[in-house]
Amino acid sequence: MRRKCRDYADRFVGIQRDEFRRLGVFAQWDNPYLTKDFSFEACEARELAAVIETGGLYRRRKPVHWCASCATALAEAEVDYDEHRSISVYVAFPAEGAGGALAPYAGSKPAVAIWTTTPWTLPANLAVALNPHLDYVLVEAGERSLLLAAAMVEGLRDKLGLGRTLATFTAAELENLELRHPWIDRPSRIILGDHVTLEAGTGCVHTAPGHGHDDFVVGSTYGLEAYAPVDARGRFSAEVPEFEGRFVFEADPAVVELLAERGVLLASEEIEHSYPHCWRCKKPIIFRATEQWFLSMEDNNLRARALAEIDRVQWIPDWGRERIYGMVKNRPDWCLSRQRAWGVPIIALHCQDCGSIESSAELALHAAGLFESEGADAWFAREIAELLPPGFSCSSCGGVNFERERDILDVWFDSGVSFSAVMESEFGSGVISDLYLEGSDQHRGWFHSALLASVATRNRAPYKAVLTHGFVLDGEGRKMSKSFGNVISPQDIIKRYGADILRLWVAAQDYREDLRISDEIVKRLADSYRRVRNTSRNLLGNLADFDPGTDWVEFSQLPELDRWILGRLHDFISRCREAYDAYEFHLVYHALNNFCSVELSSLYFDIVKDRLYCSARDSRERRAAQTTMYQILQALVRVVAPVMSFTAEEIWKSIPNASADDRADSVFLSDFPAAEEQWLDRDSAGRWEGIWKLRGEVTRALEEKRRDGEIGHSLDTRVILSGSGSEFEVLEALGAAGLAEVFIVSEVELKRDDSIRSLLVEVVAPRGEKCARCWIHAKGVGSHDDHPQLCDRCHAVIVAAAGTP
Amino acid sequence: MEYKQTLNLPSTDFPMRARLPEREPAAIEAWERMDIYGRMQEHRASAPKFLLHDGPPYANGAIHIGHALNKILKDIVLKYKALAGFATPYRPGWDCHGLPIELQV
Ligand SMILES: [Zn+2]
Ligand SMILES: [Zn+2]
Ligand SMILES: [Zn+2]
Repeated sequence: MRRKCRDYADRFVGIQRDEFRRLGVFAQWDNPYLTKDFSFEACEARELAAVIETGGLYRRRKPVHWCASCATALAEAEVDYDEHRSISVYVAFPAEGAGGALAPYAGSKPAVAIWTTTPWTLPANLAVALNPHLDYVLVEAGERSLLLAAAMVEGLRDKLGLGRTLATFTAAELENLELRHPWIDRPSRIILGDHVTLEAGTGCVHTAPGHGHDDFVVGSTYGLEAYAPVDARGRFSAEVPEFEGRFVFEADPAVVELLAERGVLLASEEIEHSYPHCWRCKKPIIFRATEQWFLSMEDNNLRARALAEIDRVQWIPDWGRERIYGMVKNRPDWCLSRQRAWGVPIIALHCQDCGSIESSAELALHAAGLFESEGADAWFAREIAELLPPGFSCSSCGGVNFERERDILDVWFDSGVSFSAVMESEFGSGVISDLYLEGSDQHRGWFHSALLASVATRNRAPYKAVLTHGFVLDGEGRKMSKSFGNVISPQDIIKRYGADILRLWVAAQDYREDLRISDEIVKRLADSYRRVRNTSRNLLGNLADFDPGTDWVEFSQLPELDRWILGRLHDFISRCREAYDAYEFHLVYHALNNFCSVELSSLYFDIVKDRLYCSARDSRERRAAQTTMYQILQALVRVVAPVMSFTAEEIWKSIPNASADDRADSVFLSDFPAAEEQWLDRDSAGRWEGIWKLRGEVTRALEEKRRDGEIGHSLDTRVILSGSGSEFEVLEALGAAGLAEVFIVSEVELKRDDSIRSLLVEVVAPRGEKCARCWIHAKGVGSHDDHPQLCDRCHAVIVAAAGTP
Repeated sequence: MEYKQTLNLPSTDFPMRARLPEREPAAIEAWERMDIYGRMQEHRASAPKFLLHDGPPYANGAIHIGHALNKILKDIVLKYKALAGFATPYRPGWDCHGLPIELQV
């Protein structure tokens, strides 16, 4: 059995590992840790020893799902919910002697009205739970008065024969008042619990801590025993002489009869409701308290220490702190035992001579030694004598006849101690992980169990920061399910689009909330992907003949436009670095989209095209543009590498003539780009803001002319700008030629005119003929006999090129 | 004369069409051949460590979109930290005990 479990796990580890690799995830795939590794199981036994050493481990009764016909405990996963007919009863719990807030009403014969669908659990009643946030009223009901939730009175008025309201109480005023059990000579008491709802009943809940989970949890905060006078076959024990030996479900009518006899039955009716059934025999099951192992939250102040540690951890997003704090604050002791086969055993021995149970660090450490070479299977396979440390005997009677404990440890203890089995084993005993990163359900799960396991034995959290992400929903925000047919698998996306698109989707989402995915969303991401890809291709293509070693142009020598885009690059790199540092990857995605589509594609690339394509290959202005583009590409590829890993590596390997510093075998062996201080020029950035605004106006004016059919290309125009003041000085500083380049027109004329306060934009016909090579209209066209169709610039380029061999 | 021939037009082997589903497996092979994970650790051998501890998913069934989301987020964090100058050792894990496996078997 345990052998088969090992093989089964191995098969899926192999499958999942290949799938994770396909996502482009880098890890020690050839050396994963498995909770079933012998070394892990041995370490877990040592952690159990450390827990035992603290004195926090104890054994106690706790209700579990129990199938009376199979005579076994069931795990949550072994329970099916099905319709079941039960007798439900309203019962009066006498409160005449309760005193406290009820004292003034003793004469009205007060009783607390409860409702239950499991009358057979009434013999085990120890308390009645009220909701601490609700109001309760005492209402006349014939001979007596009944206490119930104020909100339930109207609905029950006829059924319970309710009359005048005598008094109203907060739940807190009633806490701890003593009631009488309806027929057994034993007190019951009023307790408070958030689990009490107004969905059905009276708002006063019959509480039998040995027969219900909520009852147990709330009962344990009041120190109530998990009393369950029912044997493994579901029959009442001798503790309930009136029903002894009767099967609990068959006892229901007898209980109702007895209640009626005692005059405490207020009403009864048959109901059909959803009820847990055994997955094997299909019979209805019960909750029944049995002996379990627990880690105490109060011994050694574990709860307080864990809460203190929570405040030393960074929780991302920050509401994670509230969530886990509330859970640790309110949780019951940790039930560490499971009545299952596949896991690491709770290392304890039952003395056959005196019945005492031996659990000690010595015993656990001895077992750990065996696990190291044989795994936890040794606990079940070895002779009992071999599980005993030399000279071991019962601490109560000195006997040496033992039987092994058969319970195993909660799987959350397995993964909870991974900080020890994995991180401390590799990095030394003082190590604390920088980050745990899982779904937000793990505040209840792994973060929680790891915190308790670590604080219990080391007095500190095992992590410095915890990041959580939401769950993936479909495009409409619905949960994915096979029956709904809305499941989107990573395998499908990879097959259709590639892992980089899936990776980009991950980065683009604000993972702190639940995330959505649909065909449409993926298609949109594929579009942004293409933009980044085209931007990169554009940069690569224009760098084909650029050698940074020989062609580099110093920053101070760069044209204003190139200095501007490097200023923007500075902003892009800084934003992305900040976003990565804060784990806000969606901000990287937005910065990337913006930078590629706005600053690069629609502004910079458009404008430098003339310089890159038409200027002489080796000219200063063309090398300047290439120097700029080289730096943009080097930054871009490194910024996107953590997200679009495949594409970044592909770009990296396509960069021509990379300088020695930039020539690592992989982009992942390079450094995150540095934003150079010299790129920052706030004055220039301000000037350019004005120029881009003006460019927008010019473009609109050109657009109008084009619509009217007056011009074809923007180069078929000359733009006259008239104005005055500081705004105009900015334009003069860049110069007419610089502006023509930025506007992509043939000529700009600047006319200072003090009579014009705002700027006047005129679009007129260009002067000169159109150059056949660069399409700019220039006066020089026609003046060169050897190339009459070329402008002065293009003529010089052609002649020089012809002159070079 | 065909002046267009005299322009310095862009030229690169980097393809416009990504064809990621076909190309990515080859990239993974190349990474494994060069032992990219090992090279990255070697590269940052003397750097300060950033330790992300992998929470073990349950070794049962194929991965679903939630697994992919989780592992990719971790990978983004670690690759960024590596580029930012940290040593980023990362050992993935699996949870292998428990009822779902016991029931399957
Ligand atoms: Zn059964
Ligand atoms: Zn003994
Ligand atoms: Zn020209």
